[in-house]
Amino acid sequence: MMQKSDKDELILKVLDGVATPDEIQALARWMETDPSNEVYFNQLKKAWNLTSGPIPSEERVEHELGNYMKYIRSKRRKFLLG
Amino acid sequence: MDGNSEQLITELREGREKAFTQVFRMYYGPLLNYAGRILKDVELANDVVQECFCRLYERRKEIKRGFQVRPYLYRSVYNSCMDAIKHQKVENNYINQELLDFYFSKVVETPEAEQALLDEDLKGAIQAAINKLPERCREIFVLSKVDGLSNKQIAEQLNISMKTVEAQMTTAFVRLRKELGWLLCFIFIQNF
Repeated sequence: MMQKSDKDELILKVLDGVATPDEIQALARWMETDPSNEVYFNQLKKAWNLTSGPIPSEERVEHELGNYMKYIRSKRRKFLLG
Repeated sequence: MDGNSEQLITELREGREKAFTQVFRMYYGPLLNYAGRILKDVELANDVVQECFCRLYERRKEIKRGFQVRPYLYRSVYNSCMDAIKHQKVENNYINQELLDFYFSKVVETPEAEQALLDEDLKGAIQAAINKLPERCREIFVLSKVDGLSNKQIAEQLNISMKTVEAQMTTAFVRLRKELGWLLCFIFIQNF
């Protein structure tokens, strides 16, 4: 049986969304073979979730907030006119 | 800051700009991060999150006492992300129903699990774990996860191969998992 650490790269590929169908299938099969494999997967998934994903700059947040306010005001205007 | 105070809920129902601004500032960043991880596309994630905030405004009159902003927004973003990926790349990569089921049940982070992670407030522990990474590994990890560079951009900036970047990222995650292991084990037990 393969060591769990051999699966790290495969797990991260699936989490990153760059795995092929065959690789995804391989991971699904591996997780089914032993409940501890799924526990291992979930731990790595948590580490990945805690440390991945975009973090917007303050400027970006303010810019997007501006867009949101524009939307709200456009709705209100429509309401007043309607 | 409390996102569920009775006053805030009332102001949301009344359509006060101040209340919607407060909610946006509180949740836009974490929701973008969450949607970005599911969709692997920042601009698409931004569209999804903006739409969810717009829907909150549209449906403000339905807001009742005891309404909880955060669970509503996370569920809303999750549902929109599911709609978006069912129509795009996942379909190509997860050709059969079995793989799709696997993806949605095991790979995609549910809004409940995501909020449980946020409540654990692990930022300090994560930062400490990142600081313990070997220097080169940490540099690449930070460029990727904090500065949001793609592997290709990192390879170009540091003048190294894509393979090296990928290998270093794998090392980073594996070491983080080990470092955070006891912590993650603990969360795992709590959540399930």
